[in-house]
Amino acid sequence: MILRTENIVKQYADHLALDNVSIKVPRASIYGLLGPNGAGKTTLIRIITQITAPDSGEIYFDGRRLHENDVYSIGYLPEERGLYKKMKVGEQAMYFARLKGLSKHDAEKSLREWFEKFEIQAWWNKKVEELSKGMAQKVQFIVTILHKPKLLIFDEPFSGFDPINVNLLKTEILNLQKQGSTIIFSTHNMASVEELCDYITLINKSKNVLSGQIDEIRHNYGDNIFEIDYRGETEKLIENIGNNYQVLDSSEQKFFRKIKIKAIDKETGNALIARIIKDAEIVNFNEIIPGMNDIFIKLVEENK
Amino acid sequence: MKKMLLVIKREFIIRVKKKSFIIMTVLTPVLFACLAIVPALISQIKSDKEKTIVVLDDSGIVAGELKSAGTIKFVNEVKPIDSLKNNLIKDENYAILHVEKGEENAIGNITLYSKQVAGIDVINAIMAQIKILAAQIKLQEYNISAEQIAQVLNPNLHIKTFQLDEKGNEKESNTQALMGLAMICGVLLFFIILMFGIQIMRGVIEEKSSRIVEIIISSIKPMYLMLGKIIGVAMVVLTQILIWIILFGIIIFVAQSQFSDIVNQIQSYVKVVSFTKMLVCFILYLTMGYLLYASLFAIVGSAVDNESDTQQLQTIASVPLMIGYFMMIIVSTQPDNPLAFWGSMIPFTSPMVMLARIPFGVSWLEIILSLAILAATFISFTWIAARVYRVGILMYGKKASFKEIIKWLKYKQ
Repeated sequence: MILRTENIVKQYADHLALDNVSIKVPRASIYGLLGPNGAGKTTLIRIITQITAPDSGEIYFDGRRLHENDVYSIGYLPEERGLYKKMKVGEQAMYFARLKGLSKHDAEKSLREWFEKFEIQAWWNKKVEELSKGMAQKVQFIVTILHKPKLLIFDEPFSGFDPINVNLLKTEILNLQKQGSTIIFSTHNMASVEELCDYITLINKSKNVLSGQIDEIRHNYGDNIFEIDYRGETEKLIENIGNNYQVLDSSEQKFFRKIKIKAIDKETGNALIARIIKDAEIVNFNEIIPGMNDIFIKLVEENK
Repeated sequence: MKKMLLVIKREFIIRVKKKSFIIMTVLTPVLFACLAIVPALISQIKSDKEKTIVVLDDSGIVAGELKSAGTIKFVNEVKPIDSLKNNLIKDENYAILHVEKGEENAIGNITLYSKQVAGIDVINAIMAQIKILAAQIKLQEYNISAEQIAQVLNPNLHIKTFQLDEKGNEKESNTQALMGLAMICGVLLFFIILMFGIQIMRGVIEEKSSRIVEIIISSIKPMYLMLGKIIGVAMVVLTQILIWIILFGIIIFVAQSQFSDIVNQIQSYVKVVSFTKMLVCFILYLTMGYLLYASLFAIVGSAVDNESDTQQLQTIASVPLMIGYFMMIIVSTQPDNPLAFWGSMIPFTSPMVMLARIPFGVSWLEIILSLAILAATFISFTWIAARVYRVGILMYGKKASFKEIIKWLKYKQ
């Protein structure tokens, strides 16, 4: 575990922002932090980045209690980002890099490398006010990851980027993961969660309502519905599966037939296959797993 | 600590590089020079038009005794007042002075008729002469000779002021010059504190409203960010003052012959004991006063959401400064006013009020006491500001009320 929080509580004047939130972030994973607006995600991130302190609860980073110097090992890209408008891009990037503890020489060297990688060398001497929003965000992304932190926290990193740059960013995020960084990733974009995240936590109304490995969660939230393409007789197939299953839908395709079956009593896919296989040739068998979007909506609606 | 240095450096460099800094640095001395020279020039530009005043003297005291002086010329007439008034409307004369006879050989009512409203300088010139004449009449009744009267009324006296130091050595003091210097220092202090205090506030708002602050305080503690900002701006102030001193020095050095008067005057300032006191106090009060108000303005900046919201809170922060400024003006003419003592002890006004008091002699004990109070206040305000600041800079979307700011003080870090 690179990061572990235990029973974090944070109370603002008349509002409990975090209520006993515990999460465990495995090393070198991409960890999605999900939740509706105002659920407490940003507060949790601010506590991890030591911008604010919790009222109670413990945070462990890299095996020991979170320490002041751990800010050097954490990179944070806030959702609402800004740069000094009147400062030159290069100058500003240097300032942020050096605040993160890089020496002047190292900061300049790796900044030049990243500027080259993102093809923005020409911006070095431009003032930030001359850049577009997307351009400024590229600069901010570089500044966030420049000091090679062990833990990276991105809050809605893709907002404001065009699809090409989104891909560029995704590639870089995956690269960083390969190099051993752990990434906490807060977003409302469930497609990118499914695409990138290994683990997630869903925070709703200040509480951790769901945590775990993403595939496992999706599986657990499945309704045990299987979709089968096969060749053979439908009547026989239905007869074979018996009373533990319920046929939801069946249709005739060009080269095979398609059927949707819901398993009652938590029957596994294997048991179903065993029953079908006697009289039908299975072309395709898959369990219908709900998307994160559905799970998100379901959980949040349930808790209303 | 190292990171605070980075903040200081950034705050310093971005300000010093600005065009407005260069303009300010050059323009301020010019402006001050104008402030010093222009009134002198204006006082020299006097109307040279002759003002003829027709004197109708019923008392028999004034006629013939009023001496024409400067642009004012007196002409005696013995005509009824009404016809004089009629003439005045038509002719070029400036005014009619009608002196009536009073009881027992004295001057009665004095009336001045003029076409335009009579200027205060004219009235003063007339009344000064009449008062002396009236006094002469009275004194003559007591059998005092005209010579004696002249001695009494125009004694040939000049004041020379000396200042005794602790060892009993006397030095010629130049109270006037020191007062002038004190006022310049006080005014300078007021403007520097106000101007750079507002710069701090703007800086805080910029970081807050653009959300830069989130990136920064994930690498540096808010308190150090705030201190770095305040110290960085202080460096700018000191640089500016240093440049002014050097500029001034160069000008004096280069144009020594043209400015021999000024050079002499400066030398005479420096000779005065209080000059060193003045300079030391100016720097100490400027630094600490600035630090106190800078924390106040940092609080204001962190409590609002954008610059248009600052009005009310900014006023709260700058009113004590204004009060200090006015106190300074009062104290510079009435150094014995109890306001002087209390004003120079209350930390929000003491930087300016104490500077105004120094020319009249203030013991080091009082100065040290006042500085100690100021130091204690600015330290506690910096502490308060740091606590409010770290909460305030993350509160987006609304302006904080005074009550909320107090509440922030109690928040856990």
